Amino acid sequence: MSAISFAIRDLGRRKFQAFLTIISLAACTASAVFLLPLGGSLGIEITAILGGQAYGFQLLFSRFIAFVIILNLMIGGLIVFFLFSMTMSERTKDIGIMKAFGCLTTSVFAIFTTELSIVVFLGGAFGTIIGIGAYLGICAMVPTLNGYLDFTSTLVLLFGFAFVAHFFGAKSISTAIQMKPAEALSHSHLLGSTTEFTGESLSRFGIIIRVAFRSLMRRALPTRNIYLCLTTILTLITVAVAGSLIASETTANYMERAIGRDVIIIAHKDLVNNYAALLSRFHKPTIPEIVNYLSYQYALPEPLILQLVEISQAWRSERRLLYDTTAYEGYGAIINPDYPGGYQFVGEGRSSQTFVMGVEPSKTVANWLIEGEPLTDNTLDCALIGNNLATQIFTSPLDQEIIISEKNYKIAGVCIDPFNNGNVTYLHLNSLIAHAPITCNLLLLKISPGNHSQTLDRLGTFLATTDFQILELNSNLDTNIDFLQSIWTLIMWLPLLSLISGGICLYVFLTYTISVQQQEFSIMRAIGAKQNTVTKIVFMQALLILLTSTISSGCIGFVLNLLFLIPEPVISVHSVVSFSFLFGATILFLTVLNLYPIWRITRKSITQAGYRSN
Amino acid sequence: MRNNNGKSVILASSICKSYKIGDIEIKALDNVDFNAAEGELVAIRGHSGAGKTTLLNIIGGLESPTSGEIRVLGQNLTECDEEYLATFRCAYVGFVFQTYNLISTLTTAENIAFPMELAKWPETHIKERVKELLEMVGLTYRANNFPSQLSGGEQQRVAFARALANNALLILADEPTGNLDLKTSRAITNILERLKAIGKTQIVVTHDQEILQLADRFVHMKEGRITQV
Repeated sequence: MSAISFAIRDLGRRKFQAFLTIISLAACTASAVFLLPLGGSLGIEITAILGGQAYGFQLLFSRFIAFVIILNLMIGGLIVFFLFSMTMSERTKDIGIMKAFGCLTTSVFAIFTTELSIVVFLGGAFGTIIGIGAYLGICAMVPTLNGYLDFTSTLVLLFGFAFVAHFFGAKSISTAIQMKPAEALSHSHLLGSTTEFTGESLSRFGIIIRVAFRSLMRRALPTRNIYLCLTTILTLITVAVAGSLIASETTANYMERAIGRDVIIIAHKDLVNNYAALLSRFHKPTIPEIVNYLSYQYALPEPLILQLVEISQAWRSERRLLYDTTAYEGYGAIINPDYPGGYQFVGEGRSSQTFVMGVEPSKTVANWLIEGEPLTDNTLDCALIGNNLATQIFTSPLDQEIIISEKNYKIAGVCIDPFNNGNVTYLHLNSLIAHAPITCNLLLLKISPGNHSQTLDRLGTFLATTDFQILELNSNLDTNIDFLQSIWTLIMWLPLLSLISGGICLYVFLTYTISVQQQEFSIMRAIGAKQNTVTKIVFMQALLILLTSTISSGCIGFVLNLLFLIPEPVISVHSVVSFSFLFGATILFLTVLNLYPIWRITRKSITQAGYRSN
Repeated sequence: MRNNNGKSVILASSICKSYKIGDIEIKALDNVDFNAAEGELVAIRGHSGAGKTTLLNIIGGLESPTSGEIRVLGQNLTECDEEYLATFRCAYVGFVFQTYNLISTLTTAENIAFPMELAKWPETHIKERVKELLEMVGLTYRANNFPSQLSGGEQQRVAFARALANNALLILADEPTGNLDLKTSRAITNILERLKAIGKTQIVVTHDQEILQLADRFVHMKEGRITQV
């Protein structure tokens, strides 16, 4: 019989186990395949982060998506490793018989590797169908997603998945087939069950904890594998759920810092409309009217400004000058020991249409999250550029200059800003006034939140007879925050698929644990232990695994989030409560899901449960 | 020596037990009457499949008869639920199996302590009793070893110590010397003899001549029936 036909028949005989493995793999593949084009559709190319070309919001989203995909890949590999090591534990005797009857180790390896390939292929195929289907479904519901599918990236991802799954699967197969026939056929031998854990300190605990802990330690290999599997899955859940909650609040905070809360803009009605359109470019493609921003009709006269500040009783007022122009990439030098002199010159003279905003650094209502340095009243020859502009035309922006209207400005920092979707340059207002025909076309006022509507009414009445209008930024800010939150919410729910895989792994582990210990449980019951005691022992085993995995993954997940994935995180009580609730629900789900095999064992009488007196 | 004067510990009347395998019904016990008095050592023998183990399981409350009545220490086991039977076994019955059936994750001392922990004895009492039983079976030096580190004979001695942990009134032993060599079997027979001397009721499924000689009486089983008493 060929390896393929043997493998197919063998899988057919163990339909349920094969089904669980395929479902677990499909779940991991589906979430990775779904995320990849989704990232592309949101303008978050994974390649951008790999090439170090992402800034601001894009960097944050890209990091998350790349990280979730990598974790999914790892989970896929670990699931295959775990489920195949479980299968191999149960098949030890079969392997012994095969080898005893003269089957070569290579033939045994070929049979189980063929089974592995079939399972990986089916899991990958189902996962791809589900992932692409889910992506197209989301695209149909959300019109801003373009529905573009990058087949090359998807194929690379699937090959990566297949490679990882085969690598881990083959590892567990090779461990099992190395056993000698006599070892494999021995009654006392069970793959990975050779450890005797004395654990003297355990004697202080009750019989339930002692038996549960020692049983887990005795089957060290499967215990280690399920621990690794669950820890990785729960790390993904921590990163995604806690990360999304923290990132959602943090990015909302970045947004609020960039736009400002309770800030209004007063400008000519044409500019007000354009400003609103440019702010909403962050979440939808809008085209502002073409106007000459530096035209005299848009200038705000100084007496009018003073009157408006007085009427509004503003906490803070800031004059700005906005206009559109072309920005050019200036050259710079970065330290690179591989180049002569130890320096590498960067800059390709790229250009982009951008908006320039003259600001008063000491009076500004914005408090951007900046990589680098902010503008100050003394830095007339410096620029602060938006995250998108930094990505588009610069190689190493903080080491380069930007050329605006034939004047070079040193880039002091890259800021996160939703205005024109991050394609913006902030310069000192005084450095622009020298070249511009007007001094100010926007007035930003931070007003008291208590008198918000009265202030708006007073200003509206005052401006009624003029061409100037008020733009209240709170609603724009809230729309942008809602958009951010909708993306994070989507990312937050993705690990649900991995959670299914985790549930399946724990289920398989408990089923295996119960089947291995069935004889001992019936002995315990024969000498007087109640069903309840046996149930508690199995439940304690599941709980120990879950608790250790939860603690490890919680720590790893938070460290990853706070130290690597989210800069300057904002953690509110709401985030902590929401995460605790969702994570608690996850653990509860896993626990409840695994009550089934535990419940099943309690339903059996002692003799049904595998009791053998001799 | 036969002891007929003690009060009845086991009283089984018209016990039938059948199993269904597919459409075929297999009668493991067919109208069996069996009794044993306090302090008596009864040996059961018979060919494989004669129903010896099934009878022992029913006496120990591990299985329920299909029909008939079984009273152990005055308790009608057919009327008891699973929870009560567990408590009953823990308090009054000690099991010894051919394959020792020690709990692999517990040490020798912990295996012996296990029934006492189930019965929630105080810790100090458990420690003293374990020490006493280990001395009785001559395994004090093996207290902290796991079953996999013990020989077959040692494991069986631990199994006897465990069976006696809660001072069980009834000892049920299923071929206790079946897997042991002659010398080790003799050590087990000595334990049975000492238990008999202290008045324990013992039902032993065995083909061991030394145990048969020690028994107050023996019953022979064939095809689910008692053919000789």
